Amino acid sequence: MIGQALSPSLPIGAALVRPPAAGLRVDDREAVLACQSGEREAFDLLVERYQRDIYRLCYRYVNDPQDANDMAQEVFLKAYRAIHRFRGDSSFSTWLYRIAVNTCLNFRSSRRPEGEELPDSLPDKHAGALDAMVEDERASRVREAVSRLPEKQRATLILKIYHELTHEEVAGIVGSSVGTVKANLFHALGNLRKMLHAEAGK
Amino acid sequence: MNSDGRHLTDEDLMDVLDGARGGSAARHVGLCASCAGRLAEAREGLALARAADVPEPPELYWQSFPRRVAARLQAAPSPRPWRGWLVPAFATAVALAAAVAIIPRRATEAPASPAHTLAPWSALPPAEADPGLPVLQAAASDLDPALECGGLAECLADLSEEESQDLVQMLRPAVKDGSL
Repeated sequence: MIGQALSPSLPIGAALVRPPAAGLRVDDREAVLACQSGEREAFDLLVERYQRDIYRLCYRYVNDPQDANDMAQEVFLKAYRAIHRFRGDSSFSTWLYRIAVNTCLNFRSSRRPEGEELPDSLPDKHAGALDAMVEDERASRVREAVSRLPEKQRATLILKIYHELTHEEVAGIVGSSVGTVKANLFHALGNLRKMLHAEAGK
Repeated sequence: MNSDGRHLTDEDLMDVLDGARGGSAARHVGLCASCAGRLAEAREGLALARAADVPEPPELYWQSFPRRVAARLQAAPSPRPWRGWLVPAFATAVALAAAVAIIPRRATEAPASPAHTLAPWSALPPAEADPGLPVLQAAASDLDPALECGGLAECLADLSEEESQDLVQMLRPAVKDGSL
């Protein structure tokens, strides 16, 4: 769940846990209901609450701060336009993530030339060359590699590892079964490793 | 290999990596070099992924972000309220339209009995002369002002996904029993 502490049962992503916002929080549902009744200011609260999560999600998709900014704004615009259709079948955060993932996928497909994305599997080459990377450069390369993963694998990895969602939440967002989410995540981790090894060996 | 001679699936290995599964799966990894290798690769990928956080914009960026979104929202139209009342209106309108279009056709397509064969010129009265038509037209026209979207076709085109689904749900029984 966005903005909530990671459950101890979710060790993956634990290093990136952020504490929940301090102080009283108006429930998402109340803010949504206020928006649906025409109080636009209530939407500001939702933007403030989720702007960091959505920006980071977009950033990891495109690995560019300006594009991430544009996309994050677009996500909130789409959410506002569609908020009258939100009925609370899922949490607001899950619904918002779904919009964000779709926005990212559309953005990417319209901006990136075909063929740049990697295939679902890669040959393993240059294992053991990772030590040659400098730490900062490695972080940048990891982000770049994540942004080049196949779409479903990328979405799954970002939502699970960096946003600490459960497998069930990720499944609801990307429209797959829990088993598929786990398999996609497993492939994503393997591909990420292979891509970085290949990069380090160049 | 595990007890039934198979390697663990990707899903199984993800569970092991996630710490959600031990027991036989963990024992299998301890005995199977292939599965242990795949698990080690995924674990290394996980460590690499964790090492790369997103560069954090300055606090000023976060303070101004809601204002930038709000400015764009002010230029955009307000979201429409949920129009659940449109669903029964559409269902009624569609049913009426179908009745007007289908009932006369069924009448003309009915198998002709020699004893009741009518001359072509008297098969049915012209639509304008059908006494039921004004009633249907009046009922349908009563709906139009409420639609607020310029007509049935425009309203149907303007339906949201959820509204469309509701409409389909309402019409499905009528389609099944053949009344539409």
